[in-house]
Amino acid sequence: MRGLVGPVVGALACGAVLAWSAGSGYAEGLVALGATYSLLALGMWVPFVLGGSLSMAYSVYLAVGGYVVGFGILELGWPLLPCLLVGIVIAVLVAVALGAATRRLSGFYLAAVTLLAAAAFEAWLLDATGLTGGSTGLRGIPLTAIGSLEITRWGLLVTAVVLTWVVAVLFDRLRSSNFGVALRAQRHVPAAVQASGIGTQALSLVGQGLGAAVAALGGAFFAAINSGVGPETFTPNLVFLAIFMPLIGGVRTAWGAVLGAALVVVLTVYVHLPGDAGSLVLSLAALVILLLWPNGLLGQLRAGVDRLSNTLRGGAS
Amino acid sequence: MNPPADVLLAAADLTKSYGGVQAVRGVNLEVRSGEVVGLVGPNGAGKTTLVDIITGTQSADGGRLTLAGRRLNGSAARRARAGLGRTFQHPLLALDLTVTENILVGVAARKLGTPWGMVAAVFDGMVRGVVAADVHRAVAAAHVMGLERLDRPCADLTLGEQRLVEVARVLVQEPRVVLFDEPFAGADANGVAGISAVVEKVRDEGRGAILVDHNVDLVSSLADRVVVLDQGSVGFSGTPDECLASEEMQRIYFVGEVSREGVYEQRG
Ligand SMILES: Nc1ncnc2c1ncn2[C@@H]1O[C@H](COP(=O)(O)OP(=O)(O)OP(=O)(O)O)[C@@H](O)[C@H]1O
Ligand SMILES: [Mg+2]
Repeated sequence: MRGLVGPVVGALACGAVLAWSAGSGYAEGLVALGATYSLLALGMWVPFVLGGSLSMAYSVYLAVGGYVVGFGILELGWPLLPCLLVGIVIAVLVAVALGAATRRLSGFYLAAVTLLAAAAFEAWLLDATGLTGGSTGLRGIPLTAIGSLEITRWGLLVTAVVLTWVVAVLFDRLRSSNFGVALRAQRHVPAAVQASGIGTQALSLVGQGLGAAVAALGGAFFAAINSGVGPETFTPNLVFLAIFMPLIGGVRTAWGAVLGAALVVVLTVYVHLPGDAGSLVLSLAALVILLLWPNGLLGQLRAGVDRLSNTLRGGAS
Repeated sequence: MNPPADVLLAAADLTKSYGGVQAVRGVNLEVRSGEVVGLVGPNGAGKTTLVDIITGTQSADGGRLTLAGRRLNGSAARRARAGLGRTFQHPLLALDLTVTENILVGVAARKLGTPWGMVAAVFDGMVRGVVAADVHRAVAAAHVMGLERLDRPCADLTLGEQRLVEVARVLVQEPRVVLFDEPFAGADANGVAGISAVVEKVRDEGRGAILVDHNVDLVSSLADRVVVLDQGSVGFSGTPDECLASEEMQRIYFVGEVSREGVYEQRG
């Protein structure tokens, strides 16, 4: 029963958000941003929250997804679907290569080196004008058709939101599966997991690849929905925000990443606070939540529900 | 020079130094099918280091290892897949995972042995989540060890219970040779009985075990052969009775600066 709460409430929330945005270009843009942030946070959730390795290169995977869509459609005349798939494959390969190169690093050193890689990639985006359009990026990506099916901006948005829901549901299942349990265990006791016969470096690489695939999906949809992508679209700053998303929302379920992403969009974009006050409010909120409720908002909610049902049961007997 | 056919684990000339400390110096050791080898020795004798370099948790400086006649080398994970299992002197459990989940790591290991197996497990896990049959195996192993309330996080367990979880985790891997590093330390009477039963089961099934402990009486009651390690080398090897009676044993072990009872109190 409990296993259905996440999917059902998540579906209702996704539906409500889509209904709220329908018809307003601005609101649709916010939802597109929310879906992209959610997919980014979900992608990072596997290696970071489950596996305990903080790679900062996720802006690269977002950008790979976005740029391949732009380049494929604009320059090669490809339909959207193969662009999506190629972007995902490239992002996975980059993630596995970077993960293999940094396999002996962890904690601060891993974060620092992957951040450097992300900065280098950003610089490369500006340089490789033939591929990336340099500082202007790739603009005016047309909406293509899949076979006879016309793709609309609204259709893409609905698809992105549905995909977010699907990934959150699948990742929640993954968490409790053999792979998820092994990944969570190697975070704390790698020697014991190795002594059981599981190569922890390979395990972590597979987690990185999976996360990169989901982030690339997010980047691809963002570029397609906004018909453009540029070097300023996915910066390492975004990855800093994404670290806090699951911490705010809750680390024990993938829905925490989605809730955190939604809150970040609301606080930094939707609520018009002067200057950069949104980020300030966000960091304060994150700090307070981390201090008071280490399991995040959803963890706190669940504890509250448990207490309430215990009280009710106690009162009835 | 090939070892006899019933030798499961053979170690020849193993050495290991930590900086200037020679922890293991030229140790030769055999474990036969259906044999429990007790490994005793004072604190710092090199027992854990020996277990570590056999299982690949630490790399040896020199020596050769075979398991059932085949060369045993590479990472700890690879050696585990070849058939070695171990427990740790200080139990290594993921404390925020439940009892079942920690044992599930041992069950999952057979499916996560290769990168492709891991990729397959990702897709399988996303679609099916946790597999009931795997959980049943983990739960059954926990019940064999007498563990209850398996959805507790391991942080809530006593040291003795943590030992039982470790033994259950190694049990589900069905290793051909199990190395127990002080499995009884911190265990209560039931725990000692449960772990002893596992050691005996390993022997009865024709597998092999190395049993490290400071309690010489307990080791002697379970082991077919006892090896005494002293300052990194084998000081004595023989039957439990020979061992208890030997002068080497008296000199090496009982005239240590730490009483054997005292050892447990320090660690508990
Ligand atoms: N990781 C390490 N780094 C440096 N020295 C170590 C390390 N592990 C063990 N040693 C040293 O190697 C020697 C053997 O230690 P080891 O832990 O193998 O002994 P032991 O027989 O298991 O002792 P105990 O009964 O206390 O568990 C000791 O001198 C110890 O200080
Ligand atoms: Mg030891």
